[in-house]
Amino acid sequence: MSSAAETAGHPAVRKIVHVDMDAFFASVEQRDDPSLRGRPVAVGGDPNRRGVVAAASYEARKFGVRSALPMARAVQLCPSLVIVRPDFSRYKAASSQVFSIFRSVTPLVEPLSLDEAYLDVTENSWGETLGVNVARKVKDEIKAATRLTASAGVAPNKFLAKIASGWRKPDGLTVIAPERVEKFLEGLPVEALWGVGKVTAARLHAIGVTRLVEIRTLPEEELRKAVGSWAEGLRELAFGRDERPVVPDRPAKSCGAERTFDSDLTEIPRMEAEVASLSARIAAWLERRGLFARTVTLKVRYAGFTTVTRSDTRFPSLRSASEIRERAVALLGKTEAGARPVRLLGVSVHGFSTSPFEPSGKDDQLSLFEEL
Amino acid sequence: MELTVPAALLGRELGLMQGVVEKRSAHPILSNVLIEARGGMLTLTATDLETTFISEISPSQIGAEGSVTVPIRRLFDLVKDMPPAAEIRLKVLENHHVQLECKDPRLKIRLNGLPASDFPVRPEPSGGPTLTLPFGVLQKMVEKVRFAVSLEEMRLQLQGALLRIRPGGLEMAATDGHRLALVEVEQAETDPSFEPVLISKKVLDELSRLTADEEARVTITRASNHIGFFLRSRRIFAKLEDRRFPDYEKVISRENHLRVGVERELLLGAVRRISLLAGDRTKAITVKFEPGAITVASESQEVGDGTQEVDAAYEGPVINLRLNAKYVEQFLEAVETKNVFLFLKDEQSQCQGRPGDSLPGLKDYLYVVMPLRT
Repeated sequence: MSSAAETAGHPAVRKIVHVDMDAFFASVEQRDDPSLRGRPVAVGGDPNRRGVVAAASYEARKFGVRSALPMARAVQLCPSLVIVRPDFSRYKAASSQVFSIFRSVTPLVEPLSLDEAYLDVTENSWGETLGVNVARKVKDEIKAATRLTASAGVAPNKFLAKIASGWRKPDGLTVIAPERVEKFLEGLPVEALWGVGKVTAARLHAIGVTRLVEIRTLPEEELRKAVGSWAEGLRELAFGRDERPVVPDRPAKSCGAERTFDSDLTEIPRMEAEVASLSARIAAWLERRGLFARTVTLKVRYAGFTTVTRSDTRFPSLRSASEIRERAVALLGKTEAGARPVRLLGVSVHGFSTSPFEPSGKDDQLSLFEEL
Repeated sequence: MELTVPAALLGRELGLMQGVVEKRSAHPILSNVLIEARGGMLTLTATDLETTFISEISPSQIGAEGSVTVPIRRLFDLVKDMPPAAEIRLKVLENHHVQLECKDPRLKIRLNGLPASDFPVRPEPSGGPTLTLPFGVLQKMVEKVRFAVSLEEMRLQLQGALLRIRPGGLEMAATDGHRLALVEVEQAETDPSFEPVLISKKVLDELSRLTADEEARVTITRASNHIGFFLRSRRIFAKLEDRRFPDYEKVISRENHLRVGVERELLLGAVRRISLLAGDRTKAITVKFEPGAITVASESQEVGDGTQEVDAAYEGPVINLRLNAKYVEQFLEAVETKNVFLFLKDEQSQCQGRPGDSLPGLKDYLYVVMPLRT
């Protein structure tokens, strides 16, 4: 899906969240081995054999131990350092839990590494209008699922979101609202920019630039001399402008909307009204992308946290709010909703095609195994 | 470390091993191959932490023992570019840089490496029940089922083929939930305590890529946490995951009594041709069985339509099956024999396929495919 199509019809201001797991490898080790908690831990290679630090716990960072430092040097800085050999299979497992949380919020997830990603939550499955609420909920879900903490930054673009997530760590949440962007930029040193290392910073300092905003007024030629081809991009960033879209690494396979209620629902008509409003949100999503969906799934969480889902796959594929609602309401009748109080309702669709009569292939295929 | 090795030998092994290495790895060292020169042997190791490929080769000469790691793809690309007869000299410099030389004194290459001590610990053979069979037979089993392995990320339990012992033999099965391929062989020495084991897609790919002399036998060891394949100087280890492969015996219907005999090449040609007219997403074809003939048909709004009839030995009622063309094609390609048999029940039920003649080395080969909804 092209980025243009993704953003077409969106409000002008995007809501981008950058999530960065805190000292990821080291935190996984401390989680899995209680004897490591509270101690300076470095994950990496053997100090006697020129190993390097892959990740350092916050306790170790106080001593100046950080990633890519030779392990022998790390031990000099912090003699009580506990060295742990990396076990990537456990890091990968935690990472996939975290990413499945991201993808349950929005299909627009751009991974940067095992422990870091951008999310475009301008639209999100929770129907949250405030980016900060999405970020808080994502952090909570990560903690509940993995017992690990993450820091998040919320901003109108990727560049600011990334700076924001690094602002307070660990377990931080920093928001740069559109109206506060200018104020925020004024305080930034050039070093805060991702990609500005010691060398570039020194070159900028040499021409009298220490704050990012000072780049704005610098003559084109002077800037180009200092940073080369990066001049253009740097000037844009100095104005806080960054139009780069969040590029997901996989196409959207489903779209969902859900809502948790402050007090449990017991009346069927009230539930049907909620299902109708969730259906309308999904219909809008499909409409914008020119897609039709073959399958409608209803999710019901009863008070007491048992969750059930019911699906209906049919031909031709649909997209209108009324059709989605009709099927979802019928599915509601196949649950114990009403007989049991309901805490959460969710509607999702999948099996996409670009016309109602084009079979979406996979849904057509009969399965060999009932349980799969 | 300092050693000399023929380019052809090193290039061949690196080519085989690099399939194990992930394109985007979790840590830079996992993009590297571990090179160890010790006791007159050169040992190469590549891993993605789940699958580990180890190969021992005889270098022409070891000047100094030692070890280092370098990016495998870069080393492979450099080595395969050398004349095959060239002798390559590898020498570790300061800071794990590796100097690479061949006869040409005007060529100077230095690769940045990482310390061998950072390379993940290598699994070692550690007891457990074993199987032994001719490598050619194992490779044939892999060929017969590999295409049916699921590529869906969420279906972890289907991302491989199940290997298990049968009375007097060995069986391998793969399914993606829509179709199933099952092969059985007899020529194996088995240990009755060998528990069924899921062999990952990556290992299947590596096994199909390997070459060995005709007499070569492969030994498979099932330890508590990994499975090992030993083939002459090469070893592949794969971590075992706790994944439950579905009970496939249960879904093989015993009610498919309608038998159709057809010449394999004829049907394969028709399916390939007619599926070109199917829509891009579905690749749906309709296969009509009637006495004496099979007609393959497809139509789509965007491309067009077509039909082809081929002769078939069939005497039952008319049956129309909607099938995914790719599923049919892959079986017809794998089965090899001149004729094939298809076994049907009705339009909503599975279609089974078997070779029309006996297949050398194999005791049985069965393919089951579910149709598309009509």
